[in-house]
Formats: sequence, structure tokens, C-alpha cells
Amino acid sequence: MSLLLVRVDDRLIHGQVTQGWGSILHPDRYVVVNDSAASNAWEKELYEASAPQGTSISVLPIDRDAVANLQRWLDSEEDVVVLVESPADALRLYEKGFVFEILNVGGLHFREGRWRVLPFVCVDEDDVISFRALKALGVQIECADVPGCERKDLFKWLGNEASGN
Amino acid sequence: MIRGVVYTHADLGAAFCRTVESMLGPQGGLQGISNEGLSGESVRLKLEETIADGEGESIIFTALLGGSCWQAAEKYCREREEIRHITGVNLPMLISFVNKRETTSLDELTDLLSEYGRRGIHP
Repeated sequence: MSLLLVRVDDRLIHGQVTQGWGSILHPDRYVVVNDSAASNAWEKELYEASAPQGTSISVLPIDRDAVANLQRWLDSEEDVVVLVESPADALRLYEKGFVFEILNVGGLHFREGRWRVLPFVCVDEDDVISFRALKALGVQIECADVPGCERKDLFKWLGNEASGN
Repeated sequence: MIRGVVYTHADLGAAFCRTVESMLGPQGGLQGISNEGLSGESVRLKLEETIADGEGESIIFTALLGGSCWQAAEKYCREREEIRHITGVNLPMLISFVNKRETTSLDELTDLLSEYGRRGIHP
């Protein structure tokens, strides 16, 4: 029915997503698109078992079948939230044919090689390259960790920090 | 003695432990840790740093089924015989944990704490 949210979050599905966004958006289905989680039967089951009441969680690898499945759910009566782990995965999903207009950046935590752009957004050069590619495809990149907070345009914040990269 | 690790968001885990100590006195082997600022992978690593393999029996307490701490704890205790995980942590559960952990086996204690945790909830 409708695509409620496409979100980059390195925790994938967790409290902030199901309790925070879930209670505002009321999705029927959360779709975790992640090669590693989809290739591990036990991990896949763990995610699926954590679905809040009245919702389903699906875990798919990033491929054309995932795009077809997403399209099928969207063409049916379902409201869907899509979760990817990284900007690179968001770009891969887009390039496989899953087109979205807005990408929510909800959680890219600090790790070696990343610098902080916002309290909940840290990026490295590869992240910036993927974000730029998505922007070039016409995707609006909005940072918001929880619903109700101001949507910040990533590129306004990247400005100085990203120069020279 | 069975060790307890309360793994939750923000300062909740540490606050739980402080509260238990304010009632029962200082406790060894009870620690609150937080997932704040950690990536998905680091949320898992934090548990490995906190409970080293071979340290003996432990129970991990988390607050929210499906949350990142819950996922990390499920993954962590999956292949470790001496670790148990209970979600839905509350104060009655932790107080019972401290009071019973020296006289009860790990499996018995896990069952008992689930029960005591539920008994603490009333309309």
C-alpha cells in the first residue's frame, strides 16, 4: 500500500525502530534487507521472532528477488518500513531496482575511520560516496533518529567536514 | 556466585544496579552496561568485553524484547552453556537475583526470576 520509511541504521531493527517509529507509522511489515542477516538462518529467525504484535518482520538479501518481494508487498494492502545497515547497502538496493524518494538516516554509530556529523550520524569516505551517489539519483537524504525530531538534510551538515574528501 | 549483567539503553542498567545496592548494600558481580552510541556490531562486542569466556556462570538481563541489547544477548548466550538471558528486567527480579544467586542453580534461578519478575506486575 505504501512505503512508510526507508532507513539506514547499523542496528537494523531495534527498539528505536519498532517502539519509536513503529508507534507513529503503524507499519504492517518491517523488511530488513541485509545479506549477512539473511544468510544466517538462526539470525533471520531471531529477527522474525522479535516482530511487535500485529506486524511481521522479513529478512531478505539484497537482490532482485528482494526488490520483487518489496514491490509485491507494496502492491498489496501492506504498509512497509525498510531497513538497511549502511549507505552502501541503500545504494545497492536502489540499483537493484527498488526506487525510493527519501532515505532516512537513523543511526550510523562511530567506528574507526568515521567522523561525526550529527550525534547519531558518523560517516567515513565510503559512506559519503554512497550518499552522494544516492543524491545524484534524486534521493533526498534526511537525518532523524527518532520521529518528531527535526529532519536534517545530511548534505548541509556534511558541508565543512566533508570538504577535501 | 552467579554474575549479573544488566544491559539496557542509556543509564538504565547502571541505575538499576545502583538502586539494588541502595536497598541491599554493595554487591559484587552485578554490573549495568549501556548500548549508548554503539553500532549494531559493537552492541554485541560490548557483551564479549564485559563477560570474558571462562568467567563462570552469568545471567544477562535486558529490558526490551526485540531491542539491540536483546538481540546481542540472544546471540551471545546461544553458544555459551554458562550464560542465560532474561528480558523484561525489573526491580523485583534483580532483588530476587541478588538474594537467591548463591543458593540456587543457574537454570532454577533463571526460571525463578522470570516468575518473580512477573509477580512484581499488578494492575
